[in-house]
Amino acid sequence: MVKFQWQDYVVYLFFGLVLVFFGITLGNKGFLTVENLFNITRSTSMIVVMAVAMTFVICCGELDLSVGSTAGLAALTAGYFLQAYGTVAGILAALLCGLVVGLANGLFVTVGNIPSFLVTLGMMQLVRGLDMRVTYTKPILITNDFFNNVFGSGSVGPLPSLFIWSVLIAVIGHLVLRYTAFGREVLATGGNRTAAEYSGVNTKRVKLYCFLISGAAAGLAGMLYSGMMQTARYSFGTGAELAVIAATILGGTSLFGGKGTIIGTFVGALLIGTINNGLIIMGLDVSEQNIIAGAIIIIAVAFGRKPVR
Amino acid sequence: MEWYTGSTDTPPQIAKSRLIWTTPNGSVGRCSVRNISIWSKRMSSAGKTVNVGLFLARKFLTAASFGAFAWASVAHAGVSQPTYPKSDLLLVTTVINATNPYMASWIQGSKDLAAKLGVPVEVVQSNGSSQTELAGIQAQAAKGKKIVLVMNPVAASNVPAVVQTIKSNGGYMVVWWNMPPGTEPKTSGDHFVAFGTYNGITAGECGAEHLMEALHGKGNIIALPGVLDSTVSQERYQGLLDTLKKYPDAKLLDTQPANWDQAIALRTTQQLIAKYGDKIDGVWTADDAMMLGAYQAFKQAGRADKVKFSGEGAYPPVIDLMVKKASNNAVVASAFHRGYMAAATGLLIAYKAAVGEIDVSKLTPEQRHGQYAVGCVTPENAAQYQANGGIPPGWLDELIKNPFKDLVGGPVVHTAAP
Repeated sequence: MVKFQWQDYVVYLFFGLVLVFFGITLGNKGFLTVENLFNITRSTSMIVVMAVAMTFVICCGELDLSVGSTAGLAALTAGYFLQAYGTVAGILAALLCGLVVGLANGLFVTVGNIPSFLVTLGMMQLVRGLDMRVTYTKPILITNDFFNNVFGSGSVGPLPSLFIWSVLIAVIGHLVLRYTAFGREVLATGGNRTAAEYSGVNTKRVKLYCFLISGAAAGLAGMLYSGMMQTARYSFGTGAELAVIAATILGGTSLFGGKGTIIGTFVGALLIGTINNGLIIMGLDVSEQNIIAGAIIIIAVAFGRKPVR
Repeated sequence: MEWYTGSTDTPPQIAKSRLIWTTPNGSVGRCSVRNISIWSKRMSSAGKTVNVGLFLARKFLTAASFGAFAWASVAHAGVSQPTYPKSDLLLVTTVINATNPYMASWIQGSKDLAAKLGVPVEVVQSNGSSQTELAGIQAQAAKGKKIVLVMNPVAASNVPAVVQTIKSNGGYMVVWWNMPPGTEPKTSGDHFVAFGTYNGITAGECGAEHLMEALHGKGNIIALPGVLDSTVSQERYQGLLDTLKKYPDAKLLDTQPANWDQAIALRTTQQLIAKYGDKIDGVWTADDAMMLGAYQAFKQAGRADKVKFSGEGAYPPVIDLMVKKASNNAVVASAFHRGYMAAATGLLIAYKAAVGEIDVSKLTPEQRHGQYAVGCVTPENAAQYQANGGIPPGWLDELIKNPFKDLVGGPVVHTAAP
């Protein structure tokens, strides 16, 4: 029988507390309006998409710091191909762009045996430089209404398309991690690589797939950025990798691999988004927002730690 | 139409006809009579007597009162766009941060105007992130008030998404400094009231002309523009290029973007000093923050008194350098404008559209996309810009009487990317 450990649920507890706190203190300032709650989901959807993939990467014992800059490159790629060749080409090019970066990361880690931290740190710089170089930091305006509506600005009934994308990706990620053989192989690879290999798991292949998933998710996130902003700019996704990793770890994923849930990651991303939104409505400036958001994240992670026996 | 009062046996048969009336602003009121037919049938099946005349009268009175309200608000304002009482408004001003002197001046201008108007103001800080900027504006829009926005966008490309947010909110906005090509207030609807900027070419020429004068029309200069994705930087750089055409003995040695950043300007200038050594006679920068970085680099190299500098923005430390004639009168010019003035002007134009004091459809092309007056500060006149940040006494009161008082022309043309 699995023993109940309250630390596994600390992200839900904090999310509830933060919602109640802002609901009471900012209820009369529009925090609890449907429009504002959708604002939170809009601003966190890119983080959710990348964090779902990051959960796979971290669960298999690796890290991907290049997701933010890859999203920026994918946004630019989508913008260029949308203008030049149309909607389908733009979407495919952005996803392919993410997959190529993911493949490069995966090959360096699995074939080159280079630590993923170093590979993806370098890739983050390389791709960001590429973002700037290919556009000379100039934006690409996206006037394709279909693309903008599907990937960011539109809605289905009352539901923003960004929210739908984030829920869709989270559901797919949850089903794959929880109910498929590949999901179990990911957790086994991160939990105990030697044991997994003795059990017949090709851990290198699993890791490569995880980096491909991460790259594809960054490609989709890039399209969501560009759809939301109706433009593509080299700076999209700057610093997103930290929010993505924070959401994943807040959600209960072990930084050392072998353990994690997509639902936790989803709530972790919403927690970060809710804190940011509430602090904006409170009227705090950027420095104060950073201090408080950072402190809340540290406290939440500290509460989530299990005692060492 | 006749009043009908009948029993359940004979329900009215006026299907698919509608009562329609139009208010002076073009909004249309509708009352579907088809619904009455359906309603009366339902009542029939319930075995109740239907007083359709009374029902129609109630419907008509309700709809007429809504129509009258809409008509009254528009008629009172006398303008074509929807207007609101000021108690329904929230002023919003966007900045990259609150610490940069230009941004601090911008915030102060917004707050002073809000105090004069008696309307609350919120400051949205983007921290240089497009997504944070949009999320901040959306958070303010969710408060249930109509947004009156002046936006100093992180990047020109942010504007379309913000315009969409403000349109959804029903508020009004003015953008200052950067707007993407192809986007114009006039073609974006009444909610995007205006775009304003300071003429970058004039500003660039201010620095370049005085630099050339100080160098007696000859010598080697280096240029530090801002970020490449900035129409403002491109305009100022064009002002430099236009000026240099008049001085064939002057040579532009090198151009390196320093991203509006003092630290980057310091580092870049150090590299250029290493590359060109004593060949550099003058430094043109697109902004005073970068000029201060370049000045610092030459001071560290022990050459500040042998080089002339020009900037843009007339930052207080730069005015001080000019007043003190520091380093052999090294700083020769800086174009003058203030975030205070830009924010107050933009916010006031959007506010006046929101309360109906200006009719957006009747604004001139220059008022919807215009350039505002720029001064040129030199060591000779620098002292008069020291008090109150260079803002003339009573400037805000004059502005409230006429928000376009500093408007000097339409769109700036002929820009060059470095």
